Amino acid sequence: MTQLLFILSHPPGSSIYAQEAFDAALAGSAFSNIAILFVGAGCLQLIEPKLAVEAHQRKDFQRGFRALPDYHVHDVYGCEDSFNQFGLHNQVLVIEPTLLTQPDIAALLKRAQRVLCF
Amino acid sequence: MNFALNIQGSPHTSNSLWSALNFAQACLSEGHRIHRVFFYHDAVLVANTLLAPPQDEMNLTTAWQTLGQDYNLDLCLCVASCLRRGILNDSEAQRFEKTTSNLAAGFNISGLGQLIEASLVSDRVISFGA
Repeated sequence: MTQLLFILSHPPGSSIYAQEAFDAALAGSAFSNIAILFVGAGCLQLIEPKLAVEAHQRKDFQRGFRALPDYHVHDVYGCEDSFNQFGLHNQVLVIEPTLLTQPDIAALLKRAQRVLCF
Repeated sequence: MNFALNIQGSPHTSNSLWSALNFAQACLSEGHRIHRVFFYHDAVLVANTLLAPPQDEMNLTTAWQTLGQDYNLDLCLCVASCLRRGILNDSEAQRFEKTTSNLAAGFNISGLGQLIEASLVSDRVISFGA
């Protein structure tokens, strides 16, 4: 049962929002059963960030995605349409989310007890 | 119904705090309850007591303080967001050896756990994005 669904929609490089949103999801995982859904430009967070991190001297918060199973977070999803839109299928990704179609996403939203959008 | 509000947008570059204020006022005037208002990301900047907008412009800080006082709301800011953006209460200012604190009255600084708790115990959590 997904108690909290975190929807992450901010791209990783242009602001601190993506990093802070991930912090919120981790906090949620400490208290409840959560799922994470990457949508829109938020899917860009999943691209292996090595070069961007070096270029902008920013924190490589995406490394934390690999630790999600340690936080008992196993339901990590990506929007398939967004993946198509941003051409992510051939990219090297930090983690591979389960891709969802629009109807899948609608069902996920319905299943979740609460939805937090970032 | 019992609501939790998750506000994220900056007072200067987003409509988020203004939309949330209108929503909260409508909610409360209709007899609903607001378990907690949680300020995250740049929304914490609204709690800077040093803001001095022109007198003929909307003062969002005062508006939230008034609503908070009228309805005894829990106006809660994320501590990590605050520290990053220079919103400090007395104890944080002391801890980081700053010359002043600047947290506006009526707001309190706490952790992300408050957002999670509010989300779990409320009937609805409404996010006002950045």
